[in-house]
Amino acid sequence: MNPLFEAMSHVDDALVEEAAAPPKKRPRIYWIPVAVSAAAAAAVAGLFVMNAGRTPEIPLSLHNGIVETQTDPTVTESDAAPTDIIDASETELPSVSAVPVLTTVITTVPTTAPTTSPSTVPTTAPTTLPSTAPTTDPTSAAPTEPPATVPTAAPTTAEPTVPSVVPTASQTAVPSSEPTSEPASELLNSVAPTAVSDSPTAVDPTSEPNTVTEPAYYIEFADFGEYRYELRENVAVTPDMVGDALGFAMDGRQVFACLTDGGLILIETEGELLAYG
Amino acid sequence: MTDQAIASLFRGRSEDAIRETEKKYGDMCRRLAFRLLQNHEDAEECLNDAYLALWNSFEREEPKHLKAYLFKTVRYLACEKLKNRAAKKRAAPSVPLEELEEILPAPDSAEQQVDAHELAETLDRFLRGESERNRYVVLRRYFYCDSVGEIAAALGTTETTVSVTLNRVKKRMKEYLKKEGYPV
Repeated sequence: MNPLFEAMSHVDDALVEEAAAPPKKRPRIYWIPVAVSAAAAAAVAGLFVMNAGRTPEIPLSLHNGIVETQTDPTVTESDAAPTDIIDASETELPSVSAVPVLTTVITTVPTTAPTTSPSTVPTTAPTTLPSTAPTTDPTSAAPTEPPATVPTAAPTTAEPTVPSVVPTASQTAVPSSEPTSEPASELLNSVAPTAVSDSPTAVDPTSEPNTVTEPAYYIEFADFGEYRYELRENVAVTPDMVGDALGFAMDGRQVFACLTDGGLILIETEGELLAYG
Repeated sequence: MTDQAIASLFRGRSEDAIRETEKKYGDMCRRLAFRLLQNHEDAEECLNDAYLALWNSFEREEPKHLKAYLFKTVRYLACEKLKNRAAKKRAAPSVPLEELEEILPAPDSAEQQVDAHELAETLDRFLRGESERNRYVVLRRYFYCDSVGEIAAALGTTETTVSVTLNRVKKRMKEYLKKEGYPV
C-alpha cells in the first residue's frame, strides 16, 4: 500500500468535510454583455465630454464698439447702417444666434468689402453677389424673414467677400460653435471695417496694448485691473466669466479667460498663452 | 437530520442513531468502500465495522466531525482490507495508487516505513497551502477515489482541466515532500 494513499485516511477532519461537498461555483460572468455595456457607457461618457468642450453662447456687450465706430473716419454712410441695427438691439445680445439681424448684416457687407480689403476680395464676388441678392435682399426681407431661409444664403454670400473676418483657423478650431458664434463676429466687424482689414497683422500677443494702433475691440478686465487685448468683440470680463470663452481674437482663434496664481490670463483654443493681467 | 441531532442520538445510545446515519451517509460510505475494495460484500462489511466504530467512539471521546470521522473510518478499514488482500496476493485494487507512486513510492523495506500520521500532518500543511478548489480535486481523487470525470462534472469543468490541476498539484506535492525530507 502506498504510504501517501494510506496517509490520506488521516488527514484533518475539516479538510475531509470540506471536500465532501463541491466548492461553491463562482458566478459565471457573461463577458459579451459586460463588454457591450462598458462600450455603451464609454460612448455616452465621450458624448458628454464632447458637449462639455463646446463653446457656450456668450452674451456680448457692445457698448465700446459703438463709440469706436463713431470716431473712425473711414466709416462711410453705408457702413453706418449695420451700426444702427446694432444700436437697435442695444447693448445686450441675448444670444449670438439672432439670425434675422445677422442676415441683414451679412448681406450688406459685400457693398463695403471692396473698399476696405480689396486685395482679399475674390474677383468673382461682384458677379456672384447680385445673383443671390434678390433672395436675401437686406432692405426688404432681412428683419422680418423667417430664420429658416438664412442658412442657405448666408454662407454663399459672406465667405468670398469677408475672408479676413472668417479665417479657416477658427473654423477648424471650434467647429461645433461656428454656426452660432461666427455670424455674430461678422456682425461686429462690419461696424469697424478698417480694423477687420488689418487684423491678420495687428494681433500680436506679445506686444504692448498701447502699441496697437487700430484695435477692433478690447477685453476689459472689470475686476483684474485694466488690460487691453484685441478681440473681434468687446467683452467685459468679470470673475464669474473665468473659464468661459470670451470670443474670437482677430486672427480667428477663440479666447478663453483663466485665473491663475499670477492673475488673469488669456489663452486661445489650443492652450497658447496670449496675454496676462 | 443534522449531524448534531444524530450525535445526540449516539450520546443517548439510541439505535436510531445508526439508522439515521445510514439514511444520511450510507450511500456515500458504501460507494467509497466499494471503490476501494471492488466487492459489495467487503464494502458492506467495511461499512458495518465503521458504524460500530462510530458507536463505540461516543463511549470514549465524541468525534468533532461526525461525517469526516465516518468517512475516514470507512476508508481506513477499506485500506486495511486492501492490505490484507495484497498480503494474500489477491487482485490489485482499482484505486489510483500508481498515481501516488509517482510522488512517494511504497517503501521496499521496513526501515523505510513512513509513519502515516506524520505524513498525514505534512499532507495537511501542504493542502492548506493550496486553493479550496485544488484541495477538493486532490481529496476527491485520492481520498474519496472519485474518477476524473466525476470530479469534472461536480466542478462543471472538463476532464482535461481536472487532469491538469491534478498533475500540477502532484508536482508541487512532490517538491514539498522532498523539502520535508521524505524519500521521494
